[in-house]
Amino acid sequence: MEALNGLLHGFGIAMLPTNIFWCFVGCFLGTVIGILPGLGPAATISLLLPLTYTMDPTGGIIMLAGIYYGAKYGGSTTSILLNMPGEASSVVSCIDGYQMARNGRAGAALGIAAIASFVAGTVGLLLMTFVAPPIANFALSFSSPEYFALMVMGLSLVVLLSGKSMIKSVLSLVFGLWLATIGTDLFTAQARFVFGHSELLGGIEFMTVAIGIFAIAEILLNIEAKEKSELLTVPKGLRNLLPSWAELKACRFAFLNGSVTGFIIGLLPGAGATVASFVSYGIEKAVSKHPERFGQGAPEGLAAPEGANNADTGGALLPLLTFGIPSGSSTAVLLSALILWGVKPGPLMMTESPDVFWGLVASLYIGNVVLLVMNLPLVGVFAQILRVPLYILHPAILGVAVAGAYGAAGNLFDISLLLIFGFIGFLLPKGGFPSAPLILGFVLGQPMERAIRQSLAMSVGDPIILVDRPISAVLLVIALLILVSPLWRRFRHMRAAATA
Amino acid sequence: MLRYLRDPNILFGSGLSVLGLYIVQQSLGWVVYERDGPGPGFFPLIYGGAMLFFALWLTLKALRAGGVAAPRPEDELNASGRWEAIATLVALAASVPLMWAFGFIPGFGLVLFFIIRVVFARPTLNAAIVATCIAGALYLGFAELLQSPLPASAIWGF
Repeated sequence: MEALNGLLHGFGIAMLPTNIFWCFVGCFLGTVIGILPGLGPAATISLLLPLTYTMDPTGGIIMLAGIYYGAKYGGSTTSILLNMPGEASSVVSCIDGYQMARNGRAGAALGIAAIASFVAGTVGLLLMTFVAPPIANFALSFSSPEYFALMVMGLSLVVLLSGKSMIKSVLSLVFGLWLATIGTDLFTAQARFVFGHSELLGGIEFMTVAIGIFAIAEILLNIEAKEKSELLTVPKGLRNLLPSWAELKACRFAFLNGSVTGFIIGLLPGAGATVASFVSYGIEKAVSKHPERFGQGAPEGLAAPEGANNADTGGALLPLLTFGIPSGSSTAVLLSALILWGVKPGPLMMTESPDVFWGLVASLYIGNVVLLVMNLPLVGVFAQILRVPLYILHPAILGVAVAGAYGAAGNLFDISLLLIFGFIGFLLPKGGFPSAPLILGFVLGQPMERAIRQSLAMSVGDPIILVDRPISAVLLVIALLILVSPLWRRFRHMRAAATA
Repeated sequence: MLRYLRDPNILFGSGLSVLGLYIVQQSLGWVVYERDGPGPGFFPLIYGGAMLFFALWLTLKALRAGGVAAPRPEDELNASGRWEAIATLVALAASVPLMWAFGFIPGFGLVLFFIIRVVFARPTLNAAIVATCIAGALYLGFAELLQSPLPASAIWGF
């Protein structure tokens, strides 16, 4: 009942003409930038975040959520028409989406992607709407030790899931924690790691790190890759974008699979939409009566991952809005935006900022409809963005990144930092280091340090407080199991090899 | 020796080991723990120690594996692309003093011109027009429409 009342209140806020306008602008901008190969939702939101600085929090977060959703919708267009993922979570969509387009079903493929995104996105949101209030009530019993334990558990999952090498994920994470502690210590005013630069006393701006690691680095990687592909044409007319009845029938389980898999995996920190899309594709192929059709242009092979990477949004927003803990790069950027506007995500957000909370949730439902309506007839127009020459696109995006970062910090020192982070983001994939743990370490570094120091201050320095309280003890045991699980797997493999 | 220098795990591992050592050394210079609880050195000491441990682990593991062999010419993908990416980054780095001296439109416009002309190998006139249009559009969008500050020239003040 609480959820229904809240949702009705949210629709009252989100249906205001200005908020509908911002939702539309967000969806449009997100789709436009999401279509560009290489620029995913995190890069898109961080790049466009400076545009929302002067807006009121409700309108601003509605626009950013639209960008987040729009970027995911846009990514599939590039996968289907160019065989080049617009963002990481659309990689799987290339397999059957591009094959469908090659088989002359480009319109149907785009239609299936849009319908799957809409259905699964809406199911993910429904789950989030009704699960969020009880979780927020549960989170009210959390104090510093529980928050610390929850962050440790979340970061352990990030380390386990976000890269091929756990050591590299840990190193990426601790590097992010180091960046977070640069500046003045909040408890004692001790300057830490400032290298004699007074500009660093206030710490490093989140925007500088996010734009550098995502936007600048991704443009540099795109320039380096010099990838060129043939763009398939989109058939004209809405009728050509609608899948046939047989195709829709083949996708009916894929819609459900994508919705549930995407939502559940979205909840897991570090897993993200990419893992969700791979898992749902795997499930779809495993249960299919005709697995041999996968890879040849099977509509369900496109519907499942496309649905999953949108249902993931509902799952990913749940820990952000109820605990104030982001589960991935995109939600980390959303968290920083909320904090920037003075809104504190967490269990009290529903009662302290109901307009922002429920307005955001309701706007996601509206955004889903807006994107479906906008993408089906306009997908051909959006696809034309891929024809804009790279010598215009890349310098323009670099310009937006530099101007946006300067707008956030107001000094040229931060532009230098932006370029350093751009270079770091450029190097990370070359060494096989994932960027998600770095950005989450940076976002969670300060709250994590605050939580552990407050916990130990509460117990007058006795660390037993972390395992003395049942919730934090359980969370820390889970974190330990998560971190030990790869070692246990390796041990079992070695034992099996020795006995064979 | 080159086999080791080519290995990214050794390069990253040794770089992060040095950083981890620096963090630990700095943390020990601050209060780590006192009667009431942890001080400013406590948290950095934990993650700095973890960084040092895992970075050394990565380095030693790579050293034991014997580094990496030289890439064959056919495996060397996009060598020119790499240099173009680095040239773009260097040009962006040059934009900082240029924007400080000349302000956003001339300073960043020059950098855009270089990127379009050299990295994307466009004709000079084309590069000049595109660079001017992008710099002008950014100025209009950010400074005029969004009222967001852009770097002003230290010489002529705007």
